[in-house]
Amino acid sequence: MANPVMVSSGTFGCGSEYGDLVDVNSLGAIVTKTVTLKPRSGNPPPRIAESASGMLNAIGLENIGIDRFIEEKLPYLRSLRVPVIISIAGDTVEEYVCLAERLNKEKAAALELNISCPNVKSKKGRMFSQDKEGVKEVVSAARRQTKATLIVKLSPNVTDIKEIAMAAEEAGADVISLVNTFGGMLVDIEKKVPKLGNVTGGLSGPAIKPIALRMVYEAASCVDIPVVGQGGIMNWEDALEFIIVGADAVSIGTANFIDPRSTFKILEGIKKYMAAGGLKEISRLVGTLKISRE
Amino acid sequence: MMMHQGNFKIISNEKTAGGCFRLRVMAPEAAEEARPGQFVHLRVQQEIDKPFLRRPFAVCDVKDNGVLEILYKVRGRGTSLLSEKKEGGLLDVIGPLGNGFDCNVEPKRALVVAGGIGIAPLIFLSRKLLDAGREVVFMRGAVTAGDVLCCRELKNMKLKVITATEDGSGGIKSKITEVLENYLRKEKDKEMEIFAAGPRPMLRVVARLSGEYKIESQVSMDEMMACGVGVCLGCAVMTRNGYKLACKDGPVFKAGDIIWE
Repeated sequence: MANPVMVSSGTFGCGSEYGDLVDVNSLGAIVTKTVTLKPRSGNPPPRIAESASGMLNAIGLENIGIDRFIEEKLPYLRSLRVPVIISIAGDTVEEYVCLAERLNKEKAAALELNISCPNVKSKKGRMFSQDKEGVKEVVSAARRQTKATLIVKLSPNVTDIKEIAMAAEEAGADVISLVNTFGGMLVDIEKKVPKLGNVTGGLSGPAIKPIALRMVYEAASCVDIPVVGQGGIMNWEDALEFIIVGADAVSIGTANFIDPRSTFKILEGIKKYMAAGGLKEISRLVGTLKISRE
Repeated sequence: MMMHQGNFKIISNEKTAGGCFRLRVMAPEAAEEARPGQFVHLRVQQEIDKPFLRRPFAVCDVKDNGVLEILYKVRGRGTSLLSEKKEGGLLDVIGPLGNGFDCNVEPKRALVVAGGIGIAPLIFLSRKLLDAGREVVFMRGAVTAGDVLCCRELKNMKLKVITATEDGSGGIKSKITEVLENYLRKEKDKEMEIFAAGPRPMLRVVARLSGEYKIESQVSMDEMMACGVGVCLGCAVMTRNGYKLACKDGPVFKAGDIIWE
């Protein structure tokens, strides 16, 4: 990665959609919209609702499926000069394995295992990322299947993020990325109905930033592999907070919707901060949080 | 066609009838490329509290000098903040976005049906239809006389205007969909086409009537959006061909393709 600012899955399509407004090749990396084995039509509308400093979504992993993805999206992604990380999700461990195998054949350099979408149910009725056995099972199975860089996207909807992060590392993850969205809901009080067709959804945006930051801090303190920090980053100051608590890179999600050029403004801000502090490498800043204990 | 993003200068932001405002920005590229039925995605404030997301507004008209115009009703915090914008200030605009009205169909008589603030994209559309030599009948519905919009704009165009209000204080006392139905019944031998924008229940009736009278109709769907460019997949509309996106596949759809339940 040429720089530490990437875009999160589901917020940048497959790279070309924002092409008129942003130079995709200046991003640190792109994580594609999650692809599944079979096409998925997604959840019934309304799929999004707005709350104070945040957005609730329940898209339901709508996507065209791996076959069409390889045929229609991969050629463009291959033409980019930035690292492309393909986000995959399955209902079962076998589906993750199968997707990894398909993308292995396509020589995909990096995969993100989305084991933390709050808006679809896996066969076991919860997300793989919600218990360490689930994490180990799916990550180790994918690990056996591929030599590609394996990024595991974790859910914040857990009791102890540290044990989940360590389980991912033990099972062979190269990188962990957190957090996905927080389970949430909103209600229309006039009609007494949920504001989302799926009843509940995932909350993103600045509303979740302090909680995401705490979880990245906790996870980064207990693993040795690189950590991608994300959750409500809107500007360069937010991004630096994540880096200081231990994130090796940051990923920008919902902010892309508010300002498609957020990533570039964030990168510029980080560069200026580093120049002012005489820092040449971003790695010199990672995990530099000072905590004084009396 | 390209989308543009920029901080464009506000030329005016004037109050008009029915708690609505007409906002003009100087956005030459966007104005030049905009087609009727397309929208612009506005960031009404820079803070991260509510409204957090951008707000989509139909392009109400464009001028040769690069001015792009929107018409909006103050309904919530977003539109309220927008109404406070002053001439000379800057506004963060992305656009033009979406798939607008298809105006290139055979030169049938165009029935343009506007419900409330749904009139916004139909002004631009009507002007283009007239430019193309089409005959236009403009049906405009509102709750009450004070809410009747775009009187001046319509007066300057060579089209037939039928106005209806639900309380009868202006025009005919009727729902605009009843006006449309009566018209279709009377003129059913004519070759016609419907273009409509307004509340969903109104569009649903338009779709039913267009089916009953076997008339093609295009409707502009108003959906909650986040990105506006087709990446978040938030503005799904159920159609006969599965979910489509209001921001990218629409906002204009063939009424017969929409599954209204």
